[in-house]
Amino acid sequence: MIELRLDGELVLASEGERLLDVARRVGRRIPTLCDHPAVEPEGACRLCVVEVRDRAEGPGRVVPSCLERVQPGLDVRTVTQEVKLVRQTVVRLLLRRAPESAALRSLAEEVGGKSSEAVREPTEPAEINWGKSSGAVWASEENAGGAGCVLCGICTRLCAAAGYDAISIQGRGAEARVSGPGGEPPEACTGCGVCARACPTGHILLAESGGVRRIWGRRFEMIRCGGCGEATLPRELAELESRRLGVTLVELTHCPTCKRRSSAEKFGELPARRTREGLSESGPMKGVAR
Amino acid sequence: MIRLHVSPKLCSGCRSCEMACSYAHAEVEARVAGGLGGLRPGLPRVRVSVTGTRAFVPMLCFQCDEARCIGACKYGALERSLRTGAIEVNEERCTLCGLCAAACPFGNMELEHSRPAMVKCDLCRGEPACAKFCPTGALRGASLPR
Repeated sequence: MIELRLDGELVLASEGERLLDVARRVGRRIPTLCDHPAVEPEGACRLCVVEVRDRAEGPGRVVPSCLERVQPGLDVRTVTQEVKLVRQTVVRLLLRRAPESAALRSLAEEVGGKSSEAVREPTEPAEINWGKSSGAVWASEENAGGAGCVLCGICTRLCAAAGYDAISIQGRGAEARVSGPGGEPPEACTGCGVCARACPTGHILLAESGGVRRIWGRRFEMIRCGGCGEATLPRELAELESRRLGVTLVELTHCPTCKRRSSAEKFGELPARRTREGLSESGPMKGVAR
Repeated sequence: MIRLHVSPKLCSGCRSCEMACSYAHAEVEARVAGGLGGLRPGLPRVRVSVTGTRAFVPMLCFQCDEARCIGACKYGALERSLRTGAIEVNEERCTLCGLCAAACPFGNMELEHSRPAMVKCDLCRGEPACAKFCPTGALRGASLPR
């Protein structure tokens, strides 16, 4: 256990814990855009900054709490003038990239300062249509029609974690944007849609209708459940994962309801057997389950 | 380690288990989702299926030893609880890709659209409500030594 100070209070943390996690654990509200528990932190958005002091005297350092790990005796302050100023400036800059983002606008209100002036006119937040095949179609065919990208890198990191590595940040500076290699629609994309779901600003658009999913300028045919016809997974995703998991395409693309129905048929017909507890039960899970 | 004994032959199809499950999870969900949870009887983690021969089969996660769902998850969002033996969804890590539900051979895991979240039986963190309310003994909970 490591002992440190957080806003004057003594707190205990485990070795290697991030300042962000410690602060949240003890109830501090730290804004972030680029942090996602499933992937490594990148320090891209700079909203989670805190001020740290290694010694009693001397100036503090303003550091992103998602990258900074705990140290014995560290003095951490989550609300200082410096911290406020950095957060306000960061939000103002990010708002220039993504003025339509509802998440960013509420962040601007939270951090206050000049950034909140930039967010007077409320417009409808981008809405992600998820799952069901009967969803709305996006007004724009272009993928870049969303609320604005702040280059947080959640989408690219998740895509890499999934093993597809289809999208990355292309270009530099003001020209930087997320896309497939060379700014083209990503060939390696499987249409899983995880990027759209996780995008903090609602920039990445996913549209699904008539058994076709569109994302990143590509179209993916949805495989329908062999039982009820509901669209389940994009064909490319299903084929790839079917090979990885060693599960047939048919099984992988049956919807849970239909799978449950057919397994209930099997289990309902099994003969009763004696168990150690003296109960009568059917035993379908032998070898598969505990 | 908690084990649930399922005896379809004893099931009367009353669906008390479904209601008990919904109630048991409503509170947890309300906390996790910051007030957005609440009672939703439409999506319990246990469901009574009616077979072609009019038999009732309570269906819920078997907490398989070699669980396909865990293998399918690329984000480390499915973990087995050492205490109960249940496979639990870490909702912070979950990206809702749905591969776990696709990989499950039995359909005992699915996407709840309203929250949204992947939902499955977590053995109520050790005290299965379905077993507690099952009037016929079709669902019975037992605590086993590790």
